[in-house]
Amino acid sequence: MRQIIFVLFSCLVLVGFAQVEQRTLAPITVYDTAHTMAYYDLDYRKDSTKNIYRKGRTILQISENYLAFSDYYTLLIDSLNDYAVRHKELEQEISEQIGKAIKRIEYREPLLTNLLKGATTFQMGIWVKLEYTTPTPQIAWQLMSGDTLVNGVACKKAMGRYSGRTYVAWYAESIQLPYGPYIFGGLPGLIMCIYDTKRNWIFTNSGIGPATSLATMYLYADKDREKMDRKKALDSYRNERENPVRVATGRGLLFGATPEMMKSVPSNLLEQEW
Amino acid sequence: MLMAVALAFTAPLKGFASYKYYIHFKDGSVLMMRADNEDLARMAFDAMCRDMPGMEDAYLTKRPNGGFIACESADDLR
Repeated sequence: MRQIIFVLFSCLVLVGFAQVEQRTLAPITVYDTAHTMAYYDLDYRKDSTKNIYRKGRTILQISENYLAFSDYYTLLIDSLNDYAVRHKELEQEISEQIGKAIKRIEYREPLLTNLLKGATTFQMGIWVKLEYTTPTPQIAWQLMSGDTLVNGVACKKAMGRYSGRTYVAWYAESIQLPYGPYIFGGLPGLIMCIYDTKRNWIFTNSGIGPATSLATMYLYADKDREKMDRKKALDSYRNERENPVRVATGRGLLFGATPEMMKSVPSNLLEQEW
Repeated sequence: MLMAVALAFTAPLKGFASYKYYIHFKDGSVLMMRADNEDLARMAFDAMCRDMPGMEDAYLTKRPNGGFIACESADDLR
């Protein structure tokens, strides 16, 4: 009897204190494999009233039927994670690399465009994982006079409006891909640089070439991702970006925050109108 | 049998982020955070460090009193 009680007690202690984590494959749905990659440096202002820019690196994956746009480091992290799942002996080393990559993530709204259906799926959110799908936005570009070099490539100028901002785009007719970063596209050549006229969001091409690695095009398929319409998703996302601690506390994911921590912070989302 | 019972309690509950992590502040206060895994906890912590004031010296641990995972670093872009 004593032995049984001892074993049960030991078990309860184990249950109480154990936090055993098993690394698992990233929960994704794969759509295609890219044949071409375009890299874009991102400079953006979290607070539109301050002239302080954050710098990130984004990637546009291009296949025959799909476009995917995301943060370069999130792709890298997912790839490293899956490698660590298969090579448990490298867990510590890979975990350190993932930790460094996490600190370099700046762009948190991956999207995937189905070129055949003309539809784009957006994903976003840290505390509340969201997803919405809309017809791929079409921008009424005005081709302008003016030319420049971006990353050594001759570019022409165009201007257009999208979601509350006016954008200047520099596109390369020599690269016959009518695409660009985020949802921007529809010009007679790859967009090499695009920024809104107030320069809150600036994407600048830093390279283009065949997809040799990180070519899998996917969206996240988390069990708790919520699908909704564009308005609800962007309302919710803006609330999360402006009130992260309040939202996390409300979702039961953060405990012990003080009222001071729950104060609102600026968001300056790329999307301004919905 | 006992192992099965133990695993049933320690594995993530379906639909809930069930691992606990702790954010420590310079003044000694501690927040408890739930996340599905350590990488997601680090990502959420990093996002908080970028967005929230007063996170300059915060650090993340696996246990209330140890198990260091990550800290806010001076090279962030705030």
